[in-house]
Amino acid sequence: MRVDRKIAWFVILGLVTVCMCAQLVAPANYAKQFREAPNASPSKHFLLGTDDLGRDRFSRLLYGGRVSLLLAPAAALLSTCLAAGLGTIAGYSGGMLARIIMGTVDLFLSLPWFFLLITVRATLPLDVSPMTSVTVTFALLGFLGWAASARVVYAGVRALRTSDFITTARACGCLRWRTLAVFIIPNLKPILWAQFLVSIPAFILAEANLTMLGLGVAEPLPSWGSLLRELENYDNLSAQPWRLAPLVLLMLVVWGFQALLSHDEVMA
Amino acid sequence: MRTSWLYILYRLLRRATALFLIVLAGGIVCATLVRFSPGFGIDERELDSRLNSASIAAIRDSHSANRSLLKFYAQYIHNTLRGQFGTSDTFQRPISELLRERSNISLRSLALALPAAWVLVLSAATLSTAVRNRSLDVFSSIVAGGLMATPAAMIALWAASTGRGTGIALVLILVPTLYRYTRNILERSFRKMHVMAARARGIGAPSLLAWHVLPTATPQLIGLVAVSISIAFGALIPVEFICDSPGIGQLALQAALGRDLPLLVTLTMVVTVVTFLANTAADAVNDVMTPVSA
Amino acid sequence: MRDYLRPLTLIIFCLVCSFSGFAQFGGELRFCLHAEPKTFNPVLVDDDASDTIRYLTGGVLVRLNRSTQQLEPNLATAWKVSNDGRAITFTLREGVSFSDGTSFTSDDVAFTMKQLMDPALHSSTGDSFRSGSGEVVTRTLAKNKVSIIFPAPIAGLDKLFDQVTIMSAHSPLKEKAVLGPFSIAEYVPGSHVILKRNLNYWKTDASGRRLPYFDSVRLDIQQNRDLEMMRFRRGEIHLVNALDSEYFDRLVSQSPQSAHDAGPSMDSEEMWFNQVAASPIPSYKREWFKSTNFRRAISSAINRQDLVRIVFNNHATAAAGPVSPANQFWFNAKLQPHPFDRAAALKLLANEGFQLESGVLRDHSGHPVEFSIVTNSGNKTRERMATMIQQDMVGIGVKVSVVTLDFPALIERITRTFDYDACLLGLVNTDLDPDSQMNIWLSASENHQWNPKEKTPETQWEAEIDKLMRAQASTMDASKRKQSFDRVQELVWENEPFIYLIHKNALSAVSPTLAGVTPVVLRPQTFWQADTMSLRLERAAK
Repeated sequence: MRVDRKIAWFVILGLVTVCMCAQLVAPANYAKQFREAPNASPSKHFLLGTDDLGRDRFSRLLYGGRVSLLLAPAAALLSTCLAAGLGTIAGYSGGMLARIIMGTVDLFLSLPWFFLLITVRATLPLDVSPMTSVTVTFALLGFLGWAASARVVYAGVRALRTSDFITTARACGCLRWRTLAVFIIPNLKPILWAQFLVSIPAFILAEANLTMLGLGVAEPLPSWGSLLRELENYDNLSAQPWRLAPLVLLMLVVWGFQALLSHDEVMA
Repeated sequence: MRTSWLYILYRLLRRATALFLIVLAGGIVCATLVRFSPGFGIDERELDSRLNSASIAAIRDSHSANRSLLKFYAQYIHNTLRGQFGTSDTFQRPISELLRERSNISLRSLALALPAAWVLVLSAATLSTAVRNRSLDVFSSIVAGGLMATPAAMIALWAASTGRGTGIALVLILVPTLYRYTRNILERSFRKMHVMAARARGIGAPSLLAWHVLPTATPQLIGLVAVSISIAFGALIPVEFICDSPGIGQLALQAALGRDLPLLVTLTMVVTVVTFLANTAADAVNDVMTPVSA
Repeated sequence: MRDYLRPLTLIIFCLVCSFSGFAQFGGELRFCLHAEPKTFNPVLVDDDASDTIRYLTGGVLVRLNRSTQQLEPNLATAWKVSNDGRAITFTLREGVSFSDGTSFTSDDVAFTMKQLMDPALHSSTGDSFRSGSGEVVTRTLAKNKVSIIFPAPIAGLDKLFDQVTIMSAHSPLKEKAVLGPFSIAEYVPGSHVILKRNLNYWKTDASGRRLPYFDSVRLDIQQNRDLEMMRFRRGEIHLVNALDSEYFDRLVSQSPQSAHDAGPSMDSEEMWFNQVAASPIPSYKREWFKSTNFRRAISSAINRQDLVRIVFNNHATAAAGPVSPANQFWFNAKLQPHPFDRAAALKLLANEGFQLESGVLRDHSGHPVEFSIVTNSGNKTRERMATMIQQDMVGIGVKVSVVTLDFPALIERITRTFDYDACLLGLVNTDLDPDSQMNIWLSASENHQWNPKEKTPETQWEAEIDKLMRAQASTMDASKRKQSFDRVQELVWENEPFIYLIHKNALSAVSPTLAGVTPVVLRPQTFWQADTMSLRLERAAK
């Protein structure tokens, strides 16, 4: 196993494990406000200092990792699967079906889905748990986020459709579904992995943007997206660089997935 | 390849019909989404304690015109066919005027950002594919990953505070996503049998890229160009909002927050047209470059 | 010897001028609007951005001095309100012209009142004058004398004219002809508005020079407050109104002479519970919210001092009621903010049959006490306040969910569907006179937030508030009005339909290059003396 892949596995699994065990590892509950120490600098009591309301930033980072590391990849997986399915069907079938699907893609890319998000959120009871509401939000992001990558999958499938091995398979009487499952989709893996990789931080950041519009994770539950909102206070960053911690962790996660991706490309 | 003018005309007509239907569908879906979203027809002035009941009732009535979706849409289509898009509820100005003013600003940003992003991405991805250096790969991954993980708002704020403008912000937002896709597409093309055969024959990296890798990757890259236009349009919203640039993105966000139905429907139709045309162009080039199977 | 006298005199004169901050003509005042102005028609103004432009361009008959809170002559040299409060007579300043040279006469006042009282017009300025059914009659007694008669008495009638911009009856430019210090020269939508000096402005300074001192005012449309602060620090703009406490503290550390804290503002932040009978919330919750003891208990369990210290960095004051201490005349100084006292809160709850069991508060039917607080998204201070209240409630076993909604969705819930438990919002008070809050306190009103449009007052104290508000509106005796409204404040304090939390301070940033600026709490905080503001001597010369 390559060194960078080992490190990537270690980083990702380590982060996931630590975040899932936040209750054991975190020095304080994510909601506890140490009101005598708001905006405190890092110390032995608060490893990454405290936020504006005196909440331990390190604890919130760990608990926030649960939300982001579980839900964002799940949403990314959902959108990737939808993109794979629809893009493959469109690319392989061609003709009217392809035109309808690609027309739907164009429509999906143009519509203001913000309104669907707020409508769905409005149908949930106000006292729904923060975890439920953020899960619903990520699920919607997953359902709505497939369109862009479907285009790329479609282009990929169209290129594959005319390749020699596919022609051979068809000439040998290979059934359509078998051609898709055995020959086309495995060859789309790098594209699909790239889409999956790109979607994870995109969904985490989308959740952060939605928080500004009241659609993200509700207080006091943290997520990396909501913690990233602290970075909007741009001026303070040089004086308080520990606020960059969620960004550093997110970069580590992105790099980790990238390192895994590179390995899969070599194996293929 | 059939080159008869009739066939080309037929295909153009088919595309035009598809465009018309998609734009129509886009408008209906957008109107439905907006109309049934919470807060539609609500005016902030209703909370003004200086207004009496009659005024509040009058303000509410003024928003009731668009409550009937079918009526609104029929009227809207009728006006649009006459070249009028109606008046914005939020800005109280003709929508065509708003679009004219704002699209110049956005188009300028996009005209700068998209080519710049593609030049950067293609250069970096091509170099990475050609040189095949692990350290370079890791470095480019870290940079792309770092940019991808940074909120668009922060990038936009940095761009605005350093006076660099929306174009640079858009470039920095587009590059990591496009780089990842482009790098994979080029890498995939690099592994094709005919490329490997060319390498085995000792053909150098520049020729390999120019004559074997890039032509193979071109159809997918063109598809990616179309996607990049959509991504850029989407990124306009937070970037223009943060940078206070009065373009289409800022207009769209203000319209969304104000539930401005006529303006939102118009903007959706505009974006649908742009997306469709970009994707159609990508498909057309793809059709030309992809050999037809027997 | 005499050869030296003239240049010496000149040098001494310049020195005196520079040391005394002698106002100089010229230069451009620059600051930001936080939204696109919706209208330049002064009678239709309802938003902040348009109001700023109206203030800078419009001439008014009387002007409220934002510092002393006293009314001063402006386009009217004298005025008299009739004993019954139904009529006001103005003596107008003579020799005044609009920006296009058209003369200002009583016809213009009559025309303005006609525009304002148009039944089809629905603006906050116009509604302030609608005291009863019937026509408003304007009599032009002479070219410089006008009398306006209202169908019913209006309390604080003269002060309302501070908001009435006089429009020209005869000018071909219509509302573009102005009487204020500046007139609109350029408007680029989404970008900026430029105002130029009104060469016909009537006011002069002590040495007889026609004001304003500035040649122009540039108002950039800037919604992003971070960018606004950056531009202020770079010297690109001269003023920032309504500064956040966070920005303020940063400014104090970087440029203390630019940061101004004028003390508690007129605004308040408060929370209320939904008491609407027809609301879709469970009936047991409605019972809780209708209970005065419940509301008092919740209020006692909120640590207002922590809100002041943590959310507002001590740039706020705990609130006792709807009127801020900044409102010198109307504030009821006898009332103190409810102190933070968990024990007292639990005792009040126990009186209503609530019991704390294993850290969970339950009502007499065993329902755990849980409610949600809705507030508007994107407002960081409110989100923080709601989160702190959520934590405070844990101390008395109450579970609170904080739900942030975008503004239209929030308004729909609190004014149409009434599908909410509690709401945290702020009240922006632009008027000193409590008459402007009539539609909040009258139980039959739309803006009676906790239970709008009651057919009859549902509680005895609401009935009493109705009576007191009508009483203060129908008398011209200031002391009687004060007595009535003091009692309204006491009733609100006792029954807490609104749980008042804080009055934030009026924080502003003013460039040291400006002279003649006195930041105050009343809007517009910093540029209320725009016609006498100037650049300091050495800057104006550039």
